[in-house]
Order: sequence, then structure tokens, then C-alpha cells
Amino acid sequence: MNAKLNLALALAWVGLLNFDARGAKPEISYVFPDFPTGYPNASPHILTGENFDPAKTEVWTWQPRLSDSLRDAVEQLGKPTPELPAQPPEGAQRVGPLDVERQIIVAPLQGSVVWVKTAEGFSKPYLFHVAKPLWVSEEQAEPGALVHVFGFGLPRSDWVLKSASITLFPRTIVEARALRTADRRLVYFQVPADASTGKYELFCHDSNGGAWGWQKAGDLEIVVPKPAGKLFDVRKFGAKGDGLANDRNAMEAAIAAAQKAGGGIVFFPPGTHLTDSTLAVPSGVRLRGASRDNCILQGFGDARKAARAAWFQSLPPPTAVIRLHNDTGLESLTVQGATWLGATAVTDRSKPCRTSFRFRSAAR
Amino acid sequence: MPNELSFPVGGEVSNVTVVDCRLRALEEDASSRRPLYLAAFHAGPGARRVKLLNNDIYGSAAWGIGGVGPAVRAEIISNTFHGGAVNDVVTLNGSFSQTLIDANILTDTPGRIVLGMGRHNYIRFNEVHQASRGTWENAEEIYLVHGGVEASKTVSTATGGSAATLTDTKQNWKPGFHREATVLIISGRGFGQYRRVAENSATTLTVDQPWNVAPDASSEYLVAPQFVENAFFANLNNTPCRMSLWLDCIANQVEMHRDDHAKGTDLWGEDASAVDEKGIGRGLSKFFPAWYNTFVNCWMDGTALWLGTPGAHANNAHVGYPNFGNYVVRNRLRSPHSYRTGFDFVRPQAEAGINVGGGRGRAGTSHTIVSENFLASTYTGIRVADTARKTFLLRNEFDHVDEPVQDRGAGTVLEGNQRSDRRPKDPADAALANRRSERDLAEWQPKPWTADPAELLPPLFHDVLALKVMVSQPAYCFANEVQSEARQSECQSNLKRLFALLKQYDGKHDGLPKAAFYPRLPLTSADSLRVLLGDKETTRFTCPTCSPDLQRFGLNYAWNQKLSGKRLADIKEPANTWLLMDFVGAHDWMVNNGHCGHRRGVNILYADGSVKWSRPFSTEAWNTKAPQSWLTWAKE
Repeated sequence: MNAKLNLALALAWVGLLNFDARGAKPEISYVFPDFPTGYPNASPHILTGENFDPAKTEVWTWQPRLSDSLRDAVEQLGKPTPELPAQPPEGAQRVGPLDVERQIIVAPLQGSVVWVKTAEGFSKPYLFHVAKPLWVSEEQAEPGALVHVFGFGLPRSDWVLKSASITLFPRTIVEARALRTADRRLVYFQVPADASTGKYELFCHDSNGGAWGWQKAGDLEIVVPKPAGKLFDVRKFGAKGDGLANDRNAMEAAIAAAQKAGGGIVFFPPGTHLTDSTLAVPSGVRLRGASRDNCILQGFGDARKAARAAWFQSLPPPTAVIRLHNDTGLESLTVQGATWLGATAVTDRSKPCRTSFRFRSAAR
Repeated sequence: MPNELSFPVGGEVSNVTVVDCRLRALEEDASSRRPLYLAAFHAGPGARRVKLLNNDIYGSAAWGIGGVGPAVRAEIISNTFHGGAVNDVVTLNGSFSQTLIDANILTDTPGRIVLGMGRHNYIRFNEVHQASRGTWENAEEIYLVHGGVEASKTVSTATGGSAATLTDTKQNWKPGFHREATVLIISGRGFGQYRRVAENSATTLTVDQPWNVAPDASSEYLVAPQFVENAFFANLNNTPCRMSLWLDCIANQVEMHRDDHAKGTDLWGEDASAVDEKGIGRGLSKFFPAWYNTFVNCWMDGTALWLGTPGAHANNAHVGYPNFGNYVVRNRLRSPHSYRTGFDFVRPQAEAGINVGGGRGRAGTSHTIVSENFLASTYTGIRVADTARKTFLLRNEFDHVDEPVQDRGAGTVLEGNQRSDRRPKDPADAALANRRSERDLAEWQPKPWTADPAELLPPLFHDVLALKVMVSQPAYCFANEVQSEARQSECQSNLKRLFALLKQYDGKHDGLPKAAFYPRLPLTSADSLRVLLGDKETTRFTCPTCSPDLQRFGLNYAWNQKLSGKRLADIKEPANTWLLMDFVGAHDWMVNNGHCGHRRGVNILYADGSVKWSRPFSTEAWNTKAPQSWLTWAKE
């Protein structure tokens, strides 16, 4: 009796297991690589997911078509994208997987939509091999400005700037570098010189994925150009630039004048300008020299003390020649001593603070 | 090099451009006359849009040291770095996100390019020339991705998840702590997916994009800052050092890396967790993934490529693989001997062109795709170590290679590999025939283990300050006055039952247990009262006032260590001598602030078997002069 009961229980258990397995459709969680790699005879892809059947799994791929004309294809952008087909449509291809485990399939994939099929049915479709833009260099740009986009598998053409009422097709700039393979990660383009100001969205399409292949790279606001800043020559504020006199007061006066004017360029003629303490450059002010070959900004002071205090000790080394705040710049100058950036716009001096920096252990 | 440096850092500066300048740090140490090119340029942590264009830099440039987050959207383009530095001052250093490091030249400098955790950076067309970095141990690295993040990492099993979340009720994260970190599902449901963390609460991670397959209670995951989706393109290494993607690297691409008789390129993943002899998982956060990285079209002359998992061993606590889904595709490797540095530690695997796996025991590397590579003029072409599981060697070409494939892996798949210098009846060709490895994959199944509560939670009595921080988090301190009444009596009956056990122990061993005030590991330490009393009843040793997280320690009472080994009968004033008390009351700060304990007091078991509630110490102690007074008193 006991044996019979055991058998019955075992059968019920097996039945339960089978029932579980029957209900579980395959699911795709990730396909790698999921961007167009750009090489022919693509190496196999790795698909991860659930409920793949090592004994019997089919992999189907499909390449939806996009209109041959970019301008026609752009029409799609304003409209809601339909659902991807639940099962491979006509024209889809079956691919032989190299290896199937319960959660991992290795298979060479073409096209840009993939399904996995087991005895329980098809998985949901998975879109891959479409451009993967990751960031846009600017949030605001002037007409004619260069903007670059970083991502994986980016197209060389087919970029669109779209606002509510205007669609622009910016020209991409291909760098003249001797490459064995196309670099599909960084694309430069020029904002059209006659572009109207306003807020735009940036899209690209690398010709994979049909209507589903449009990818938004980011937002870009086209703004009116800023007027150039006024020039403040340090000589007019009493700087000697002879490498002997301390020009700190003169330079600070020039910087203060530029700041008072709401921003501007402090100009250094050729020569060596000495300062015995850090020059703080406030927001909106830029320092510009004649050339880095003949225009030197030299920090001086107790060099021996400075050298000893630097780096390893908690004393802030008094050797920062220039400290730059928000929205500032440094151009065509030689700066000698030690410099670093990092103060905020509101504080005149950055507070030294203790921070720990762990070096990796040598023993591995 | 000291482990800690003091460094003056500024705040989060933005929109700064330095162009066409020459920046020269201090030139020499005035006393030793040694060159001292230090920080010629430093941007504080969290700097945004700091651009360094076409400068001549004598010294180093550093971004973001200090750790409030990576520098964002920096542009470091066409700079030339010169000059020596003290020992190993990195020449170009920082944690970056969305940054372009393009066409820089490092020449005549022993510094290196070191990148911390960040995402979506592009490092291309840089050149490093002839740096003599000495013979110290990490001198062999010139491009380094510095992973190995352990402190801020959680590797655990989820308790649930939804379309865009992952929940682990065992955790008590600080809200926002994991923002911008990466969560990767390393085994269980949802395996193979990674996402950026948009926000986190104490127990839930919210991800930026919905999961394709939502995690559940079977999902083992990792959350930490990682080096994610960065690209290295057409960089040149003309030094005796190597490029190293060292731990915590996900979905990075290395393409057209040119390595001319340097020391090769490597990718490290590591799982240094372990299951001890008692079946308890140790070192759970020591899991450093290397997933979905690609090495494509690299031209490596005289050097090797190595994808290893040095931490994989027989007793890893985690199920997931530290190395998974890496691609080595279309590379050209010639004469991979790579030893012109004269270092005396020689990795035996480095003589093969492409090396997959490493370490010992169960597989650390799974699903590595090695395809369409060209390997020439070497003894071993591709070595698959015995920790490599499911390596796919496809359509590789070998020219003048004695042993094209040395396969010790499990489930290796060979297809379409061939020699271009085919000789008739070459016995080595048999190794290249299409086949699948016969080795049994089952032996790579990890062992079951249980969590060690002392490892999952912050230490308690070892560090009073840690205790203070811990109880300041509300999740630990949930007792309200009404509930507290009920719990107080429950706790008191616990103490009475423990007294019975102690009496029994005293009779049997002729003395009280030789237990610690509070043991290092309450469940396992030999000096734990719970272990010594040998009682399996968990509720008896835990105070119901404590949160479940504290209860999971398994022992919520502190023991009067002075009485260890003494006989109960020898205690002179049993009514005034305490035996056990609530450990939440063992620090006055906890009780003073009304967070924990029974109505701001503790239950104390005395040597006569009585249990009393009391507040036996000064309430102002913490903030005035004697922060540890109660703890000190209790211990003495």
C-alpha cells in the first residue's frame, strides 16, 4: 500500500513538473551585442533569458524594411510605433543555434528582431542591432556649431533634428583619419547655419530595425550666439611682465575690472608675469596670452617649502598659480608652478579637505 | 606610496576650458633635486564640462579624485604629457563619465592612464611611448581600468522584483546611495541583464529602463559603481607595460588596440567569495565581474591577450560567473612571448596568444567567444584553462603555431578553425577538428551555503561608532511605546529561561560559561554564549525589541564577562550582580535617544535569577565627556 502511495505521489510530482514546464514560454532578457558591430560574418550572439529548451529550441530573426528615402522615413517619427509582430512574419529566417542551455543561447544572428521558439511557443520579439546613442556633447548650441554624439553602432548619415514644427537634416562630418575599420562610436555634425532657435530632439537611424529603428540621442537647444567679451590688457593695469616685478596686483586689478564689466578677456602680452599667490579667476572671465611660447605666468614664493608641503601632507601646497571657477577659460599661456582647478563659483578659495585615495594592492 | 593622501580639492566646477597652454608643475624638489612634476592640472570631483585641449603638460592631470562622483563630460583632446613624476603618480587619472579622451600623447613619463569607475567614456587615438616605470609590482600597467570596488558593493539574492525594480528586504541601503551605480543579475531569473540604478530606497533598487525579464527571489544580483559601456579605440601602447581592464568592467569595447612588443592586454574578473567548512558564505562582496567586454581588431605584436578569473576557486559562494560573455574577435597576435621587461614573475599562461580562464576549481569564465582571430609564430595559440566553461573557438586561423589549441576547459566548442600553413599529416591538426569538449559540466555546480549574519550586517560591539551610526537609521529602531510593553515581558521571560540554562550549565561544568562580553560571530564563535549553552532555540537568545536585522545576529544579549568560569554559588551579592542584559541597552547613546530598548531602558538578568528593567546610566553621557562609559562599565 505504501509503495503504491509513493508511486502515486511520485507520478503526481512528475505531472506537476511537466505542468510547470508546459506553461513556461521562453523569454529573452538580453542579446549581446545589441548594437550593429559593423563587421560582416558577425560572430555569434549571446542571448540570455528563461525557459530555453536545450533539446528543442528554434531561433528566428527578421529584418524589417525602412523606406528608402530618409525624408519619407522621418514621417514615421511623429507617429506612434506599432507593436513588433508577435511571431516571425514572412521573410523572417530561422537560425541554427550553436549551443542552447536553459538560460543561454549562442547563435549567429542577422536582422534586427529575434524570437526564440520552444514547444511552449514563441517568446516576445526582441529588438537589437539598432544604433545605440549614449550622449550628445552639448545641451545648447549656436547655429553652425559642431556637436558630437557618442554611442555604439552610430550611423554616418541619417541624423535628424526635429522640433514641433521643423525638421533639420544636419550634415555629419567624417574625420580624415586613416582607419582600417569605420569608427562607429563618435559622430560629429554641424548645426545648420540657418537653423531657427528653439528646442529640438536629435534622432538617428542606422537602417536596421525599420520603423522601430529610430533612436533618440538626446535634446538640443539651438540658441543665439553670445557676444564676444571685452578685452582687458594687464599692462594697462600696471603689469610689467619683465620677470622681475611682482605683477599680482596689476593682474588682479585687470581680472576685477573684467568681472565688473560682467565678464571679458584678460589679455597678457608677451613677457613673464610673476605672482606670489594664487590668482582666482571668477565666473565669466577668461585669461588669454599672446602665445604659450612667449607668455609666461610664473608663480613664485618659497619653492622649497612648497615642494615639501605638496602632495603628501595635509597642508594645501601654496603653489596653485591659477584657480578657475565656473565658466572660465585659459588660453595660450604658459603657467608655471603648480595649478589645479576646482573651486566653486561662489567661494574665493577652495577649502582644502581631507580625502582618501586608495591605491590598489600590489599583491594580487 | 602611502594609502592615504591629503589632497586639496575644490567643489563641482563647470564649464572651464584650457586651450593651447603649457602647464608646468613644480620642477624639482628643492632638497633632493629630484624632478617633481605633480598635479599640473586638477579638476575637483564632480567637475562638469572641463575641457583640456591641445596643451603641453609637464606633470599630471587629475579629475575627480575625492569621490563625490565621476567628472562628467570632460574633453581631454590632443594634449602632450611630458616628464617624470614621483614614483607612480598617474599621468592622466580620474573617474569620468561621458568623457572624450582623444589623441593625447604620453611621452617620457612613468605615469600612466588610470580610469576609475564611470560609464560611456571614449578613449581613442592615445599613444603612450617608452615609459620606464621601474620594477615594482604594478609597474607593468600603462592603461588601467581600476575596478575592485568592494566597499560600496552588494552581491546578494533578491527577494523580489517588478518591471523596473529589484527588491532585497535583507538590505538596509541608505536612500540614494546606489544612484548611478550599475545592477547586474548574475544568476537566477533575469540572468544576464544590467541596468543603471535611477534611485534606491532601503531595500529597493529602481532601474532606469524596465527589465525585459523581471527578477524574482531566485535572482542573484550585484549593485555597485562599475566601468560600463566605455570604448577604447585605436590606442597605441609602445611601452613594456600592458593594458589592463582590472575588475568591475561591463560591456566595454577595445578595438584596434595596437600593442607593439608590450605586455599585452588583459581582462580580469574575480569571485573571491567562499563557503567555509560550516557552510557559511564569506567575502560576499568580493565579486568583481568582467561581462560582455569585446576585444576586436586589435593588433598585438609580441604580446598576449588574457581573460582570467584569478579568484575563481572550488568554494565560491556565488552562483554567477565573474567572467561572462566576453568577445575576442578578429584580433591579430604574433609572437606572443612578451617579456622584454625582465620582471621575474612569469605567468605560465602568457606564452599562449589568447588565454581564457585561470584560477582554480569551478568555472569562473563562461561563454567566451573567441572567433576569427589570426595567431602566428608561437608555441601555443589559444589556451583554454580548466576553469573556462563553454568557450567557443570559431574560425580562428593559425600560422606557424606548434600547438594551436590547448583545451582544458569544459564544454569547449571548436568550429571552423584552421591552419594557414597546413602541412600534411600534422598530428596537431587533430586538435583543430570540429568538436565539443567531453568534459562534464556538472562538476562546476556551486555548493549551497548560508549567509553569515555577522558578515551581512555591520559589526556591532567591535566598533562603538559604527553602532551609533547604525542605530541612527530608523529601520533598526522600530519599537514604539505600546509595542514595547508587550515585548518587554517577552524579553523578560527569555532572560528567565536563559537563567535556567545557565544554572544547568553551572551544575554540569562547575562554573558559568567562559563566554565573551559579545562574541565576534554569535552563531559560530567558540566564546559565544549561545554556542556554549548549546541551545538551538533562536528566540530565546534574541530580544523582540530588536529589529529583524539585529535579531538575525542570533544573540541580542551581552554577557557579564567578569563572571566567566565562576560558580553561581560563589557570587557574593547575586541580587546586585548582573549576568545578562539587552545589547541594545549596552550603549547609552541608543537608549538615550529613545530609539531602541524597552521604554528607553534595558532588561537585566541578575545572578539571583531576577529580571529587572532599569536605566542604569547617565543620559547625557554620549554628548558630553564619556561616550563609552556604559560600555566600559559593562565590560569591566
